[in-house]
Amino acid sequence: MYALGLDIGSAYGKAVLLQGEQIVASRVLRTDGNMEHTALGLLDQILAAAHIPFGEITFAASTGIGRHLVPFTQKTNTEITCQARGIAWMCPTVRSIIDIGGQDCKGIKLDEAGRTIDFVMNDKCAAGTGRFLEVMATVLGISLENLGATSIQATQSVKIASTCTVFGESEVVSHLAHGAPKEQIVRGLHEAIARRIAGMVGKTPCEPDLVITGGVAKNVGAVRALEQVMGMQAFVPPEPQITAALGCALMAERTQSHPRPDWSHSATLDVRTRELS
Amino acid sequence: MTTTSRSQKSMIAAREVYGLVKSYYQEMRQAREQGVPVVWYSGQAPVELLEAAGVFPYLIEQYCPVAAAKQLAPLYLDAAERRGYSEELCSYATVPIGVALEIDNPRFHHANGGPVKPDFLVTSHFLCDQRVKYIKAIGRILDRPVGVIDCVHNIDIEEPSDIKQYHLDYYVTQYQELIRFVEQQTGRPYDMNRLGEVVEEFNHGIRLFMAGLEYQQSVPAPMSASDFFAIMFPLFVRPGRRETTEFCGRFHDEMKARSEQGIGAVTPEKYRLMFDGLPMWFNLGLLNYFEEAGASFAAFTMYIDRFIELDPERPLESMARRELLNHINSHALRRIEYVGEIARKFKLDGIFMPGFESCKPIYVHQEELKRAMRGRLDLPTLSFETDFLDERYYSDALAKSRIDAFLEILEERRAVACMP
Repeated sequence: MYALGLDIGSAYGKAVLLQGEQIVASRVLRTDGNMEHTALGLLDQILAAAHIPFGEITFAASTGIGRHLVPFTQKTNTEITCQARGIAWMCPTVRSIIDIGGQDCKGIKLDEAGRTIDFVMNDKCAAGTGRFLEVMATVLGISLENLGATSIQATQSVKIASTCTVFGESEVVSHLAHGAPKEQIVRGLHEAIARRIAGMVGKTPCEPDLVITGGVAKNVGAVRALEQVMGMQAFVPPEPQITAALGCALMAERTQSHPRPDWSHSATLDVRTRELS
Repeated sequence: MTTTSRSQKSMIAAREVYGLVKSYYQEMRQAREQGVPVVWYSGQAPVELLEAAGVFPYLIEQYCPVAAAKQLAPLYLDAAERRGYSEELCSYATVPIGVALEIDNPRFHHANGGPVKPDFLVTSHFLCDQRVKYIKAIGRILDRPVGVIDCVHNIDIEEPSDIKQYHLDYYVTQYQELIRFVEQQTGRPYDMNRLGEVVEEFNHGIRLFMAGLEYQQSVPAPMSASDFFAIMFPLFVRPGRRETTEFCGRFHDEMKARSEQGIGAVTPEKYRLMFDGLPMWFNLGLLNYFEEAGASFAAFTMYIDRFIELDPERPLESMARRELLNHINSHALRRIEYVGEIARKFKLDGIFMPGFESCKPIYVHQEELKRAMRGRLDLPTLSFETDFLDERYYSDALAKSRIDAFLEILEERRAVACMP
């Protein structure tokens, strides 16, 4: 009896396979612009990692912006609910989550039972998201993975006023032209997005314990800047990108008693099912 | 922009409004042909006073939802922005400016034939300053005179007993000045007896309307949000007229019948919500998205705050009291009290309050209001940034993802409440 949760985001797809409440396997896969392909690619990888045929999965659920594009999903939920479920399962004392993904940023407030009380999301702007840092990393000639390590080398920061991706890029170019050290610029960028995110999630408002999830949570510089602006310690899960997929899998796991629907309507999946079973 | 299907109107009264709006524009053209002065006025200017003056009062802001629903608002916004008016202004200001700029353009196809040029304009500072500024701008564009009523904001009036004589005098003096302005423009003496008659008729309409609205407390709620935003038109735009009172009577009877027969706008009604504010007029179909998930809008905050009976014997003073007691002209706590009172009355599960950043007087209190509704009434709220008319500030996918998450919160709360 396996339950599968998929989080199909704008930049990455994530999958978690549960047996009971034990995590059997998890995978993160960069999206290729086709979210259905991403879901199927994740399915391949997760089945291979767990050494099980597709037929062993008794319930599959999906979340994320591409949740409706997963051909074999039986239930969809928003990232807000799934993120809350995943984090509350991992750490029941958490009351606030800041999730920073590729294109959006969310603040989620939980009650003592791990239920969502309130949430806030960024509106129509990539400022304060992973995409902003990706663009800046390219301008600075630093890999995305090294942004965090670079920024913590700086003892001071260069002030970045704008979190608009376009204006921010111009500002970074201007600072580079004036000879500002890259590590100080990166630290300034992290502080800029931290101020922006703190302003947004302050609407819920944030209370300890605070957890930061999403791809940007892997960036130690961004996490430190956020902790400083928020004035509280933040916890980062061991794999911060998969927590919504985990919550989705937990919800699938608890829905397993429902009969699995006929998936034969999906031609793509039908072929794949035969291949994998 | 991807939108949902057209909004669903479930009430006969709501479907009737389409014809009433068309008549409004036809009557305006007839007024012009018959030499009756056409007066453009901004929202919450004293329309009763104009109605009694023998002119044709035309709420230019009424054209905004009409233009937005017909996807014409971007053209007016573009016309205004090409002349240097900022995109950051309230779109309820820039669309009318665009209308004024394009009113003589023969290649521009206005909705319902569009408004005819005004003979003069009237505005008030009710709620915001942009109203006076944009009406003044239109006055300059069309070379027409403008009468202005000043409103006092954020005054410490909590109860009717807090109103002092000097408060009333301040308004009454201005109404009297406006009457003199109207007399100068029309060349006729103002008939105060006629104002008393208009006020009587207005009161009659209000009594019927508000009695009808009481039935919205029924479960399921008989009226949908899309019905509500249509049904507001006659009493808000054309108060003090016999045909409006008759419409209010039909509305009342239909609400009563639907309530008694258990007919709801949304069936089954899983959740009851409040709609705080105005809708996104260019995509009223979004209301269907809520309704398809079983969420009905049982309560509303806009327009009805205006439906307070006036004193036919002392109309100017009672109009002054109406402005002085209005929560929108007051401070955040008054607005919280006002919204909270409605929320308690209609047995709600949550509140939807679209975030219109360009409407500063409303937006500035929104977070405080949300916290108060959560804290005092344990009501979850949904808000996302958008605009009433400007679809550049709206994303269908983002809006729906937030609605989905909000509905999941309501579902989870319901599940907990149903646990033994």
